[in-house]
Amino acid sequence: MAMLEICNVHKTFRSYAKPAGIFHRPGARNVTSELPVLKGVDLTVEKGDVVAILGPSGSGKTTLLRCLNFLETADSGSLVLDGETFDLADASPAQVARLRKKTAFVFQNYNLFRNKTALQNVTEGLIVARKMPRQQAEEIGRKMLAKVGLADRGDYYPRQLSGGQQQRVAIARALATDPEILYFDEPTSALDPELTGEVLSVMRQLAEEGMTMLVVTHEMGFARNVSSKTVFMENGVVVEQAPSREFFAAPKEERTRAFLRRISHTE
Amino acid sequence: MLQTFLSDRTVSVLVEALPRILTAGLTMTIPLTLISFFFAMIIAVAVALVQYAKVPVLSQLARFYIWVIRGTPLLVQLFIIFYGLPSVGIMLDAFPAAVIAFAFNEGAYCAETMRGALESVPTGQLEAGYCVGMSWWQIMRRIVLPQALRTAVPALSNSLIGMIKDTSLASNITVAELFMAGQRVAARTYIFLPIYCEVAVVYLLFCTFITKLQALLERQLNAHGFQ
Repeated sequence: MAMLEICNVHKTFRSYAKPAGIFHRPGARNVTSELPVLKGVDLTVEKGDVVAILGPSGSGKTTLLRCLNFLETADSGSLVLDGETFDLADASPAQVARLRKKTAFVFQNYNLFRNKTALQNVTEGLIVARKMPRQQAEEIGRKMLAKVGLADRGDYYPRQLSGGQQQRVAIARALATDPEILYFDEPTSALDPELTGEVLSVMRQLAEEGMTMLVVTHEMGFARNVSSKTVFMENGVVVEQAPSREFFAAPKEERTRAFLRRISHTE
Repeated sequence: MLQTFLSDRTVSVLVEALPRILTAGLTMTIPLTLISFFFAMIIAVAVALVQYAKVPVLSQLARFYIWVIRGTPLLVQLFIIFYGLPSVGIMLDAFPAAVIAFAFNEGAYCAETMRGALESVPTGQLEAGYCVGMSWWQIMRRIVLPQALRTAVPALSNSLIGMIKDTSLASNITVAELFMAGQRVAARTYIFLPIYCEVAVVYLLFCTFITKLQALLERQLNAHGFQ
């Protein structure tokens, strides 16, 4: 059975006459504009899969990833992780918390806690959310920082680190909570090419260790050479998905071929 | 002219008055400021948080509170609490009455400072907190509020400095603070300009001290990763 199954995710961005807050009630305000971004996305991820999600800007890939972690609430759709079904449109806070504890998220712009050191960034979730004793958490934290090659940067604050180092700390933070699946949202898009390499090599190492990963990316090299499966999204739907080797060697859909042609021009 | 300003008698009055003014400042003005500011900060953080979280009803109440307080003079608020409330059976001593007035007044201004500072913290900080499994309140307490407070330090120092000077209004409700000590000497000796200048210099001294503290605090915070 698949480890992660995503069924029929729909999401429309709506602008309201009043901005929504955390106590926002859907339907309580006047919708002023609508933009459908996900129009029924299905996806299956097996344990150990590294899935690369490609697609032009605005295709909904980031939104999909955010819906999977309840950073956005989908309009409809469900997710099965480890046999437990989650309604992406309507989950209880306890369910949301349970799902988030099994997953981890790496952001495009790192989002390291700016008032915490690298080590504290990694241990924060363990100590605060999982009530782990500080000593044990710091042990794990150091191990994770070493894994991403930053053992000597534990006491540095985010602003004292380069973008690539920050992103690697963010990966260490994500790994520390021992997630079953790691989500990456364009992890190298904010980095210059030199720094991209150090982040990609960490991700490659994770892939080789059998980590299950769902990666929204523009890095064709990563999709082609590291990911086991590639998904192409456009206009809120999955156009094509195939094992990466097949996907790049013999894309079936015309739109995929057009996308790959455009990319290869710029590469 | 300088001679009339600083005649021997004037000098001796000024010298004699200085300890009184300083004592009043240290025993009344400073405690009144610090205690009021402490409560003002609690009010400010609470009022800012309910707005930041858009808690229904409470955030409307918060807007109403800020609207009323900012729209009425501090002196009038002092008079309402000290001279007005006794007529509905609420008798307060001058000092607690002043603390209440200053705390609620400053709280309204600082609440706006805090709200701005909270909203300046990128939502990514909140999202990252959610993703490592923290609750909204944990994220507020450990991630967002510390960052917001750091952003707010310059503006809050402004408020604190403003408050030191505003406490002179408490002399109107019989609090024997710095300004009143000066007033008493002036009324007794008929030496006005030098005495009020002396009072001004003592306020300036206090405010300079706070300004130095602010600079020190900011340096400390910067050294600890806050920026």
